[in-house]
Amino acid sequence: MIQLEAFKAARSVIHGLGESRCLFITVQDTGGDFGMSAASEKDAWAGGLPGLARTVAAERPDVGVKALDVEKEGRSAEVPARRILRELTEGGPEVEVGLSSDGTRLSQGLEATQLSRTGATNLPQDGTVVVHGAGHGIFTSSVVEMAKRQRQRFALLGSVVMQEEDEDPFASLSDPEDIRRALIELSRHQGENAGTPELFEQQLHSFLQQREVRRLMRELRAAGSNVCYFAVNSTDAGALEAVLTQVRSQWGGVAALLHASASREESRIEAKTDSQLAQVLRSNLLGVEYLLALTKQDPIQLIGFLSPSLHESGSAGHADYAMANETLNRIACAEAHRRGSNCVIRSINWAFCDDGTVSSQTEMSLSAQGIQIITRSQTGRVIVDEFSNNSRSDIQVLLAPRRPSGRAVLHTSYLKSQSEVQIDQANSPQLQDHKVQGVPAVMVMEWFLRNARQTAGPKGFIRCRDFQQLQGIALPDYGKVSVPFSIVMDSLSSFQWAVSHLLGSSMPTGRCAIMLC
Amino acid sequence: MASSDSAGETIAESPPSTPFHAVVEECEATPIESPFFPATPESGPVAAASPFVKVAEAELIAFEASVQGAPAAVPKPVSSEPEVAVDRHVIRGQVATACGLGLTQLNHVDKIHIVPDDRRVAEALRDLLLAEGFQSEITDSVPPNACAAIVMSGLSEITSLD
Repeated sequence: MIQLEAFKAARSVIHGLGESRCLFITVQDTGGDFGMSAASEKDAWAGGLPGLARTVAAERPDVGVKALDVEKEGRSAEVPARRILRELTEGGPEVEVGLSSDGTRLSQGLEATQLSRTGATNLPQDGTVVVHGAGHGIFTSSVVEMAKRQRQRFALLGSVVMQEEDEDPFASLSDPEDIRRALIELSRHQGENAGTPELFEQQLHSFLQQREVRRLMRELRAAGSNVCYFAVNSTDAGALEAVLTQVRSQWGGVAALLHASASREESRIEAKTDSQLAQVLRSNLLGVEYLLALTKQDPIQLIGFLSPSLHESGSAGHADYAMANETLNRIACAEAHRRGSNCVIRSINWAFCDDGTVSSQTEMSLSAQGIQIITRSQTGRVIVDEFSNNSRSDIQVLLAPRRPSGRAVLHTSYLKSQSEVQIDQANSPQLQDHKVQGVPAVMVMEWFLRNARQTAGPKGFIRCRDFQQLQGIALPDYGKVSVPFSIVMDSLSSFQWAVSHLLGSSMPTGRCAIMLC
Repeated sequence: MASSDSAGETIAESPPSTPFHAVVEECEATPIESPFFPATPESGPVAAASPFVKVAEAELIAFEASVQGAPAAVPKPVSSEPEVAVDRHVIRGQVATACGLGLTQLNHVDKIHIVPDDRRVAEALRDLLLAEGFQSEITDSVPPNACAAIVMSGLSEITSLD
């Protein structure tokens, strides 16, 4: 599994992170555009590497990180190798960069578009809606909203084995903490050996999942839809095939396929084990792979993947889910190419919704900026609007709370960037007359602006203020050696601005504040 | 290119054709206070009555009894709740000209470990790095405490997750 191989390499580098500076680069070939323009299905499996790179950048801002997508198609090995080297030495601050065979250099950007407001349903009307990964808050809201707009036949596929509702010994409890305590108490009362914390967490998760599934089934039925639930191991292709065969024989072909992934366990890369990573990747991706293969002949009109966005809120602690979600995005692009215009395909990432992943600290921070968390029901409505949108080209969509006027959403490729410029006689002959006085301030500002320009993207505006040159930058060895200067951009995530420092040695020689709007 | 006004504030906008050209542009002033932002039974009897009980490896928990006939396609009115304050963004590739700035860390690592691909691009890259004075070697697994790794196995032919 190449994703596991890359993860191990990242962990080694992070373990090595001490006083010395570190570097972590991933290279893939998904067409030079991160699979957006119809990568083949098989290429999509390398698509998770940028998720890992982004997580390394989020967890360890001091590590130099790049995720390169290099289209090799028909070229000798030396051509892509030269482009990789050039990107590392002269590219720019972006983390994710695509290098296509025609020489184009791409970064991933967010294009603001109109929210879909279909109102009237344009959802599949015949056949079965297969829902994989049931039992998750936002997903539940979306499925219920779908049923409210159009009665459907829902086949829910989940991993949790259901007990009869009257067998729930904690039916009177609703708070997870109360249930956890009751589980521990019950274990003691029954004289069993005290379970491990992990066991209690598994039991608690199972109880909560069962309740979520029951609630979902109740709400779907209340909305007039038919519904069934299958507990099935989604990494078992045979089991999935058997379920689908039975569903088709009773309800007809599959008309829609919905899959949700949710982030549960948080641990940083150095603490995450190989088996944890493999388990998340397999449970999130193998089921999708099998379901897509098993439904190739079904008249599918809608495929929807739902996952929390790890772009904006940062993927720290969630390398596994970042990789799985990124792979899902690539699979969606490949599937859109394969299925053509008969099928609406969306890979929807949401940011800052009430899905339990936004910490209270983050919520307060957002609130101070005038940004409100989106409720579950709101998210469900917007997602179903999106499913009803016929646009075939908008495959990967990010939904996020509206910003106060004038602020833009940023891609966290720029969580913190650190770039370097080498000054020598060949590339800066104009400095011949500045050997004594040093680098002119206008040149320093130019470096800051170059860095910021890459961050803002082609449509962004930059405001640079509070520029200060803290000390002169003399060039006594100009003409003899290259002189490196580092441009460090701090604290840039979803908050739209940063302070840049120019480092000639260990001390900043210049600084400014960059604001993007 | 940039210009400063008397207040020491520089506003830059680059036209698409010249990515690094900046011109003065009036822009609404926004104060910056600090450089660092803090960051049922409805399921019915489980097994006996279900037509799907014998599904291999899968446990059918519940299945609606009334599966005959298609559900009525009756669109329901959309909720009249307040407008959702949500922005929609489509993630797309954007052409981004290289700006001439390199990775700072590249010049400060001892040795670069390269995990190879099956198309020999890794070997070509190693040779180029060595020619530029960067210590580098091909390795199947990055040793613990390495300070630099380039994982190139994503260039290999990959046919499945495993």
